[in-house]
Amino acid sequence: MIVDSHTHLGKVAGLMLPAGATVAGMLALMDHLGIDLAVQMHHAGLFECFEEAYAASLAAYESSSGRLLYALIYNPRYGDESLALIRRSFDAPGAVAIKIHPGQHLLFPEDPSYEPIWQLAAEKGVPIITHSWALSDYNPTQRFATPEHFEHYLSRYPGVNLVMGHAGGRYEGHLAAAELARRYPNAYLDLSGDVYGFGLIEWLVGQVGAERLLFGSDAVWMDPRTTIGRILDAEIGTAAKALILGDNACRLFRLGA
Amino acid sequence: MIVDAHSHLGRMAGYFAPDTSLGGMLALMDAIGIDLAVQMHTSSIMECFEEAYSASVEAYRLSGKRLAYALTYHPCYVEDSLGWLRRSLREPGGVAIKIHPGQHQVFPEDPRYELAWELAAEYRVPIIAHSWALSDYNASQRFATPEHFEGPVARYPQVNLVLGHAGGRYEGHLAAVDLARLYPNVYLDLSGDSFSFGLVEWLVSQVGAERILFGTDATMFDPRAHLARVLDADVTLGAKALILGDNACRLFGL
Amino acid sequence: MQDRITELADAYRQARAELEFLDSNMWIGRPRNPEFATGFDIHALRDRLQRYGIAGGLVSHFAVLTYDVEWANEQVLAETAGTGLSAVVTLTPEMFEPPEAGRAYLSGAIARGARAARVFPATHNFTLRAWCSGALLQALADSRLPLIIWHTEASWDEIRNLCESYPEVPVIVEGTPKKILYYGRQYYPLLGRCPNLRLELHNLVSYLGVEDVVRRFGARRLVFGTYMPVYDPNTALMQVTHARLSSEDKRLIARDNLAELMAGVKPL
Repeated sequence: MIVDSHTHLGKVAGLMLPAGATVAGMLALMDHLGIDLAVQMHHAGLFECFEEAYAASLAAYESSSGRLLYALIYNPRYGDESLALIRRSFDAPGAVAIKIHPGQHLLFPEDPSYEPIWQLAAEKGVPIITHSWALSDYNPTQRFATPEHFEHYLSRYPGVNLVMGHAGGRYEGHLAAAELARRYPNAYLDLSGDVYGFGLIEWLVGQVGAERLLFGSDAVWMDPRTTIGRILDAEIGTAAKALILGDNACRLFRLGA
Repeated sequence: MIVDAHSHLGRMAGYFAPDTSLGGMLALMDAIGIDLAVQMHTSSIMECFEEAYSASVEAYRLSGKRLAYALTYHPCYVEDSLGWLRRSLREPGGVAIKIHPGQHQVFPEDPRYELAWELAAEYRVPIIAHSWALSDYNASQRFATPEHFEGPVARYPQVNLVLGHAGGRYEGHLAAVDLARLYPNVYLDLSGDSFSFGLVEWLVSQVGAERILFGTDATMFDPRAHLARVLDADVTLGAKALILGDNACRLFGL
Repeated sequence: MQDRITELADAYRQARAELEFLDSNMWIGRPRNPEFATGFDIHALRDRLQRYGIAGGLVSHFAVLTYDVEWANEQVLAETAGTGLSAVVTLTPEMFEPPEAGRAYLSGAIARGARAARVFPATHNFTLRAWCSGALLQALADSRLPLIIWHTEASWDEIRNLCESYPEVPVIVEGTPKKILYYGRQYYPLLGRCPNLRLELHNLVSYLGVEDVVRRFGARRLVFGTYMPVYDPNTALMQVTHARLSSEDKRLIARDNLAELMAGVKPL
């Protein structure tokens, strides 16, 4: 199965999304490209509308006949509330991971307020997907999400897999993310986002191995065609492509074949 | 001899400079009494290494050896830049190694700079570095604040480091002076747009005239602004002589 | 699964080859911050074009950003001569003081194969307003040389002013690394009011963006480009090969739009 491990539904105030950025639109494009499943992380959860995110994610899971799996977003500034909903999400099928976004929530990943989510992930046997990036000249909040900040909990919870979304985002971030993944077998990298560096995929496979890379698109921000083509055409073995395009995700998120 | 220890030939795309030519530079040097200069061609900083070597060698020759030069060590193009640097240091005219952590966005303590220090030690030449303070409008200056140079400065006591622009702005001047007081192989030059009232006098009192170099950052800035400040500074004649040329002659073997 | 991947990859590469892409956004010289690509000369570029099945296009030189614009223009004009690739020359206002000097320079570049121009008003510290760049822009208007501009180099309002003041200049907006998709609320109305405005593909990447632009404005408003070797060219390529558009529209985006713009260049 081909699995898009990093997608989003829902609106973003700062962005004008196309008409097709809906469940139906997402499914239609997935069909067109041969993507079987996606892990969806609803934008409402990024912006403190936790109940809305939960309801919309459940609805998307059901109306997609289980093709749009989801991960609710943990907000450490509303720890108790968002934790309770995330815990509840695992009572029914559909929820396969937990998302964190230190850049959005302006708290460093090693902050004690993140501890409950690592505990929950360990308890439920699910991965944590996180935004990761490099220091940015035009977005100062990215300093909360540079890869080395994840070492604190990665090392304390070896049984919890962490997916660094966007693989560190930019060159310095890719170096840091790969370095972390080389030292911690529970660190994974996804290829979502506008991370299009020439030779990046081949380099990541060389650095951390194809077993720890995941195809993700960051739909509905970025179009999945900008990433899936790069993986199909990458100068790596077909077995590596299979791992990246779906086998790793099936294993990580415990998805049926 | 009066030596401008920090100057540039060549253009920069970011702004229009009326005259970046060799002829122009020499004419102004003659007009105001500057004998020699250490020149760091802009092409060298901007990844055009071959152009930098040929332009610098030509300038050295055409100036009657008045324009000694320093090519740039580029931490993202180590093999390329090192090749040209080695060549320059084996020939007359090549007198130092330039590094520009702000332009190249690599911290000075990054292992990618190690070979620059090795080369400087091998050829017994100084390293001239861009240094500055944190800037509201130029984020890349964070790569060049003085404290980031401490690692290599401490590991290579035999290599002299010139902190170009002496840290650039107030906070940078403080940090540059701190470093120079801790490490005798650290020098400060007066190039760039760092024109604070009392700066020359303060630097002399903090680190001593033996470790300050006259530099202008021509052809970006007009050297008269820099020369006047030293000539008229409230420091001794002996200090002025050191700053205006004796230190440079000693440091660069001129 | 591996069989399926091989099938998908082969189909993609086949579709890529059939479209015979022309790339408006290729670079030689050394980037300021090289990442994973190596080899930045014209030979490495031509090898890459073969590898990706790209048939030709426009080449710029990295040194225009930082070093000496005219020197860098000369490098790219010389390197592209006789290769079938066309140079992009970068311009600054003082090149057109007096205007005749700039026009002569531009004529010479066109005679040597230049088929587009770039400006970097933010990085090079000028403005596209007529009082600063009038002679430069008039020369572009008279020669119909397409003008490529990064969206981070001028405000959208300045881009609007440029397009409306010089309707004969084909303006192609692209840019990286900041995502252009943040600015849909501005470039959509601009596409509506400025027929000479186009968007280049490599960092457009917005979800269903290609289809959406074509639906609203037609397929002639998109120009193919990869930003090779900074970006992986497959980023842009599959946006076209797998666009849910007619083959005619795909071909317009893949090559014909750029080919038409290049063919429209005339000497001054």
